[in-house]
Amino acid sequence: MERVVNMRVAAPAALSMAVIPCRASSARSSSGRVPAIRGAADQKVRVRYNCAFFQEALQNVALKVSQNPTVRKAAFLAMNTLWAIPAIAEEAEEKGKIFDFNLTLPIIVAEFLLLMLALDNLWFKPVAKVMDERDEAIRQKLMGVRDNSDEIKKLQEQAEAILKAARAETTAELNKMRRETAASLDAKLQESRQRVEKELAEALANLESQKEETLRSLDKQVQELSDQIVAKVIPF
Amino acid sequence: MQIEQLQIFEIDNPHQVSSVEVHAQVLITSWVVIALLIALPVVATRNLQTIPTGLQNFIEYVLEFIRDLTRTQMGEEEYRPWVPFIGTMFLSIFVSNWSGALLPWRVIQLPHGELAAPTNDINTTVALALLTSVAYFYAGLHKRGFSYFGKYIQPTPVLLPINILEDFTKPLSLSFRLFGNILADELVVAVLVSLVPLIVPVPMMLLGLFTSAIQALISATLAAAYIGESMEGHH
Repeated sequence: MERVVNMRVAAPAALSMAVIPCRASSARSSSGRVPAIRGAADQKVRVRYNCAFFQEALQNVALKVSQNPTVRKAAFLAMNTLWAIPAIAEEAEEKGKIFDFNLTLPIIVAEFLLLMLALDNLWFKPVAKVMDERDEAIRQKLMGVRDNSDEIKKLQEQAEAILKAARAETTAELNKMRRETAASLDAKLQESRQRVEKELAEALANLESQKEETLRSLDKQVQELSDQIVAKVIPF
Repeated sequence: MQIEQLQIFEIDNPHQVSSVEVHAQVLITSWVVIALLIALPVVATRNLQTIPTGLQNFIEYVLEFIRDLTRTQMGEEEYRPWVPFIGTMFLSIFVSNWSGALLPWRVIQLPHGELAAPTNDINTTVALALLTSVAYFYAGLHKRGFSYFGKYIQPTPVLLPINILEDFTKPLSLSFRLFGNILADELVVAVLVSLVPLIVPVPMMLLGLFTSAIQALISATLAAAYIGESMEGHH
């Protein structure tokens, strides 16, 4: 922090030095441009000096004075007292202190508390609500998923049992079908064999009878032939 | 650093004038910080969805960060009521510091004084430190009643003066840590800029961003730690 003391430093270059802080620092100590807010009559009026006006005055004086050494010293002393006067008059403003506690502190406290309330209602509560609801929903879904895996296992076992039963059933059916067809085939085979045998027997019988007949006829023919032969052979 | 000062005159009696001062530049910048901090959630919470995107994602991340910070220091059961306090502490310091470093305050010329981060003023940092002190006292008394004062003679009564001293050094260190960091950073950057305005100050500015963010985190963490410690006591 700029110390007010800088302004009052007694140095040969005090005149010019006094000007520079005024310009560069945009007028700290004696440049009160803020008009006093007055309450009632009969009070001490704090004098505010205009920095620019001071600068010009100083420059003029400096020009005039820099030539003559005694005048210079006198002017230097006058400058210092001149700089001191506002300091005496306005003690409160000459704060170059770094630890400048004032009404700002409770105002900041109040602002912080109001900000805390505002942020709590605008930011922390709504966003916390959304986040917590989301967490709950996710947790519910996770729980649901965990139960489902048991159900799935049960269903799987049921499906396997059904499959097994179905397979057994089909094999049983298949066997039955097979047996039945085999039986019917057998029956048919038997039937046809019997037919065939019958026909065979018939044919054989036929052949037998024909043979008999032929034999008989042959017998007859032989008889005739033998009679003829005898007739032919034995002349008379 | 110049201070723009508003003089408010209170007249007590004709022979004495007392004036109450206010550092208006701190108020102005702190209002800007508050405006930023309120505009962000207002914009972001307009359309809250279960699956967050964009800005909602960001503010949820910040809230998660603050909650985690508070929970780490104070434990799972008791951290909930303190999230707003620690969150506001962290966010206000963070945004104050970064606004001081990033926003072009010098563009606005004040008649006398300069705008800068609100935390480069001793009033702000001491205000925050005192709030933290009050908070941890309140937390301890609320939770443990008058047995809270038993913590002064733990672990041994020999440490009583040190424990009492701790009640003064805690806010002192909190305030000075923040104040010194921010003010020093601003001064160094100002000096560097006045010397070599082009590229040389940039690493210092980046360092300033980093350290000011760390300071916000440290302030919030320490506040939470003090509150947690006073709630649970030394075991």
